Amino acid sequence: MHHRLDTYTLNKMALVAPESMTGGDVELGGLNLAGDAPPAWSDALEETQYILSRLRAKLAELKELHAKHLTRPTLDDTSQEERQMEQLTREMGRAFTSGHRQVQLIKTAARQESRASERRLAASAAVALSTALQELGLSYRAAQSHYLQQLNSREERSRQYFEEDQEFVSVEPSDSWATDLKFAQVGGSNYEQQHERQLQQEVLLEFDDEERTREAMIREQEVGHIVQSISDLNHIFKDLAHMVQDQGSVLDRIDYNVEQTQIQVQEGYKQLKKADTYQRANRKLYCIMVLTISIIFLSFLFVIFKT
Amino acid sequence: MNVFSALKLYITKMTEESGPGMKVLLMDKQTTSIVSNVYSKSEILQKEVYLFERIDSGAQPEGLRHLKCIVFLRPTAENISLLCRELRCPKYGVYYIYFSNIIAKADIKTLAESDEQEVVREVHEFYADYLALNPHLFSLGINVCVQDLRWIPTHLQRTAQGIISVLLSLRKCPFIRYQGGSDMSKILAEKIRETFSKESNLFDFRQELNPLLLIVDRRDDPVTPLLNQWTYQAMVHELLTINNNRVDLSHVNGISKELAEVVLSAEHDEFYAQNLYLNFGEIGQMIKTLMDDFQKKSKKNQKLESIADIKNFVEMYPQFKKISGTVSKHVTVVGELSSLVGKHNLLEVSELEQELSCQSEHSTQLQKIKKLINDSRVRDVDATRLVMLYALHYEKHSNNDITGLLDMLKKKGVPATYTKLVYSILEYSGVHARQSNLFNHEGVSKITKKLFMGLSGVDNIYTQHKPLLVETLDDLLKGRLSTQTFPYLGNMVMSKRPQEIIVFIVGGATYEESLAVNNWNKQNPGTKIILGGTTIHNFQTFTEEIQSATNSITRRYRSRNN
Repeated sequence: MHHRLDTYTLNKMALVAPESMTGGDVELGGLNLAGDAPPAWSDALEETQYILSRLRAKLAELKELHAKHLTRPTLDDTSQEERQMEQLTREMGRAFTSGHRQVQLIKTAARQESRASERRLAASAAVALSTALQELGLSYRAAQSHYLQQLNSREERSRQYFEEDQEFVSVEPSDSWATDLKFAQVGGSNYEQQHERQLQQEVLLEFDDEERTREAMIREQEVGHIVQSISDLNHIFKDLAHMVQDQGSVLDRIDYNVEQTQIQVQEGYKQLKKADTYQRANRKLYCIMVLTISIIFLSFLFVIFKT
Repeated sequence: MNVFSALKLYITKMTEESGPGMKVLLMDKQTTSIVSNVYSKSEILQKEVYLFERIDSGAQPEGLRHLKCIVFLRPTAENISLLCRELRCPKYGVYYIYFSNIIAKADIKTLAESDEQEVVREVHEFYADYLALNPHLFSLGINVCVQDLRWIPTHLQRTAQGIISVLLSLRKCPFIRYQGGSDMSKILAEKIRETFSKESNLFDFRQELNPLLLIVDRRDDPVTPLLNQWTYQAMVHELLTINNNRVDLSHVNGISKELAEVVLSAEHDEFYAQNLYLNFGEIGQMIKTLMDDFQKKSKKNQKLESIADIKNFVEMYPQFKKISGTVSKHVTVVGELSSLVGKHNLLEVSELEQELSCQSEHSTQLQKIKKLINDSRVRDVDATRLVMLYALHYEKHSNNDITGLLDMLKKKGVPATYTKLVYSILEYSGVHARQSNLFNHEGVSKITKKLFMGLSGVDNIYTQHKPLLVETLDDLLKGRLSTQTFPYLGNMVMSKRPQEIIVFIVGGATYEESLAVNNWNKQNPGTKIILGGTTIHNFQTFTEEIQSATNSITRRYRSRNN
């Protein structure tokens, strides 16, 4: 029912003479050239939007994997899926970081923009993107913690049945954002372990190899935990920096914002007027000063020449 | 039958039809309010709408040609000419134009002629020409629509357009019934039918649920807007005034800057959505549980010992912040309400108001009014309210004492604008203007009802009053509403029971009626009722309407009494 007007717009070609149209186009095109090109930060905007869409897809994928993994019976080996999950979380972590970087880019661009409307545009684009990022980040973290919780509770349950197998608690699949770092750490601790072995080989002869490897495994696990929580913390601080929260307040009303801009425009106009009057007043004063000085000078001359 | 989602759908469609890319929304004054009631800024930012401009804000030299412009305007002559100017030297790249109502072909032609650079991509009519306040409540934002008991022509036009757009957005082509004794209702009904016949292809919907448009006049029930209210939404409106879901609190002493103006929108505030129809006492309890919850949460947040705690904190933080915003907002509002109630002795005033509207005991009520007028805590408005209610109730009572009460008001120092209102309201809707017996409790059914009431006792003395609308709707749905008092427009008569009813109150609805309609919808899932009005009244706005309505007509009361 809304389309009954379309025909009119389609017909507008006939209503406008072609030559006047092209003529107008050239003139006005030159006039408005300043606003023609999209601003430099629009690339960043598109980039972030792309990142967001990819993140959404990945999050869905991750959730699916989680669900699949949770419904399956436990297997001690790190399966294909777990590796896939790890891969996904790593990618998402990177995507979040680059998303935040892009938003930061837009923000700085917004501050440097000379025209008011451009500035507003960039600022609200930045707000929109960081809200979207924030929401995604929250749901991502919720998914992760839900998964871990489920996993832990399942482990608890299975531990009850396999009390004797407690020694072989499987290593939890890590959800670290910095698994790279963790790998580095693993290498390091392995190295350290070897070094240690060399040093204390004579002293610790009574320890058998098995025990030592287990100790190393535990240590490695702990180090991994620490690294992970530090990287978590890093993320948390980044998130805090970008946090936007004015939903539900008057700042989130469209009409309030429109009114505010109008008030600002009016304020600016008033200031301009004031400045204008000041300037004029100064000129007048200047004239008066010049005239009075010349009057004094002339009367002085008058007195001198008459006497 | 949900005006809120109908509007939201339109706006969503607007933002989506232009495809991806940065967008600016260009509106006029009224459409700004329409959009802001259904969409919050953060929601619409997610639709890539990053700038909001008013078409009448004055020309800005700077262009942003890389933006897509969504134009959403009412089809008024002024807007058309502004839009033509905009199109001649466009600031934005392409334009998607949406009019909020039916637009004349001639206007389209002038627009097309101004579009020299071919920047317009699409032109549509999206019938979002009213303010949706709740899912079942709409308003047109016309505070004063009457002058000398007749329509102000521009507002008649606007009202008819508003109702047409409600019908079109809900895809209904209803039967129309109107208040027989009211010229204003009749004129409006005829105006609407005129549009029906002129744009018959627009109204060609499949009708299954027997929609009915019922037009009633505020003059038939002047009591409801005079009463003090005790349910949350209505009370806030009565004491603090809600304007498009915004409440201005800047006059409150020692208010912080963020709370100088708050938004009470059921759509974006869960607590408000749950409690908007609860009464004041219940609200107090709800606020208390809200506070307790909040305190528990904030205590939890204070413990930040490990990294896991910090992680949890950040996960909770946005929610926590939201709750803290909600808590401080509602605590401020309710605190202000309760301080007003205490300061102005509103409990006693309201009790008497309810008695005046529901019971007839002339001499005792007269004594009570006199006592309250002499009470220094009672505000001028409330004293006037009481005398107005008294005048309406006992207008024809043989030994009424309106003049005596007026003298007392004058002695109290009530300004003349208020004392004048007492006769103005009789003028506006005295016995001569009313069709129904607002205060007549002599009818058989009324007496039995009263007996039952007497037996079971009154639930709550502050909410005894039921708006007349409830009775009208009851009659209508039971098929008892007489075609004498509420005739059909034209000679069509509806044979079946209506299942969808749109009630429009000429001269403004109230939140008390909105509450009644909401309860009705809840109790009868088979029927759907939507309430609308030229505005949503509280005492203050209603008095403005009365003043305008009776400003320069010949007075029939003053001469008799003075």
